Amino acid sequence: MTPTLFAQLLAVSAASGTRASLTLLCMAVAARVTEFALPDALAFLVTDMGLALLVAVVVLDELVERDPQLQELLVFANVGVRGAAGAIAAWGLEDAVGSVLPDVGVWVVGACVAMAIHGLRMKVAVWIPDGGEGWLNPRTWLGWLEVGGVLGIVVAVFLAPFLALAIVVVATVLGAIAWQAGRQLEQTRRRRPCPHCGAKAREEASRCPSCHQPLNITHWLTP
Amino acid sequence: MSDVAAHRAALVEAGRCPACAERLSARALFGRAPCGACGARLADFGLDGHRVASAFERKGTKTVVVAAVLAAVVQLVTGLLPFADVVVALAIAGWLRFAILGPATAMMSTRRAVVSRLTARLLVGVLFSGLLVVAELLTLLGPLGLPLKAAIAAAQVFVGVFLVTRYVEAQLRREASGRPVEGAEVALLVAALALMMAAVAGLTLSALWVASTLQSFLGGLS
Repeated sequence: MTPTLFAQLLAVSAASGTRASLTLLCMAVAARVTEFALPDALAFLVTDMGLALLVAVVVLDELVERDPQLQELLVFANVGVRGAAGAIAAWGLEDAVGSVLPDVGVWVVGACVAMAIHGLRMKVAVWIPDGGEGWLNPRTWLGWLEVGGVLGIVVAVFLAPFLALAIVVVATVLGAIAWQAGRQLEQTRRRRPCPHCGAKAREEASRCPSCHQPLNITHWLTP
Repeated sequence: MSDVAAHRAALVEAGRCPACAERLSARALFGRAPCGACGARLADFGLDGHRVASAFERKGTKTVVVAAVLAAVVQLVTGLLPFADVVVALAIAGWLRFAILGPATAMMSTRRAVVSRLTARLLVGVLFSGLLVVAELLTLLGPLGLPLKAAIAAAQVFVGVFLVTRYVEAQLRREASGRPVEGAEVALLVAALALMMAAVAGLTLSALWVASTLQSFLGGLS
């Protein structure tokens, strides 16, 4: 496998882990308007009906992405969809540029990378505050950033594969840092150490969640 | 009520454990499980999940009145500007979701929270879209239509906010009573989503057909 193909494979799989249907739509549009071709088995995606269905799924995907509770409810389906999309996207790319890996190998790499990226996104999402709706909600901004990132990555996959891979690596590292920072913040914000066991208890707590000893309330609430 | 009892009640109304103040799951909040962090039960403190629904009802009543008055005043000030009411309605819908839907659904089980959020959004979307059409038509009457437009804006916001808050309160009470989400509620949402996807697919097909027709037409000209 050439380094270029490897970069394309990783980048397109990572994009699938972020926005499954949008990545496939971008590849179908690319196959429709450029010389890039999808395998015969995926040719349906390039037809009018295939594109229309992909656009409808993109809208549904965005609806799910913007609702953390809906994502929680569909957690297993989401992982499966991301994995399948990663495999399909990698398969489509592999057939166009040629590869020394068997089809199954490409599918497995695509699916695993997509599911790993999706897993990291979900870990980061836990620490993003879910306040407000629409543009007031930080998750909305993150969603737009992800959609823009996916579009940029898919374009770069065809024009500058190593740039696409670089974007994926930088975004992954930033995601991992955000995840760790969120965990640290949760352990320190509005918390104090329990005088009996040292566990971090909330300032409003009258009992330690770890050793169950009584605590002085340092932040009072009123109904 | 003592300070400590009031503090504990406030914690429960915020969806937190009255002892360790960690966030409670829906099951723990509505008395069907102990706190996942410290093992305390609400009943040990003489509290129960119905308190959450009652607190929400008080907050909801205030929200309905404030939102309706705000909408009427803003409409009187900006009513002559076309589509100003659209901006006002969107702002109120955003506030409604931020102040009412978000905090309330955070205390429900995941399944009920998803159903409640989507149904409430559907309700707000349908009500506000329908009534905005009427309000836009009244812009054509100029200054004469202004008081009428303000009254309609206040009424539309009152009805919308009232229905959503009552709906969410009912869902909280059902959660507190341990009643499951009805199949019909899920079916309604699935049907609405299917309709939305069909509409998007139909629009895309139409756009592709127009593009293809234009391409053939322009190709024929050259």
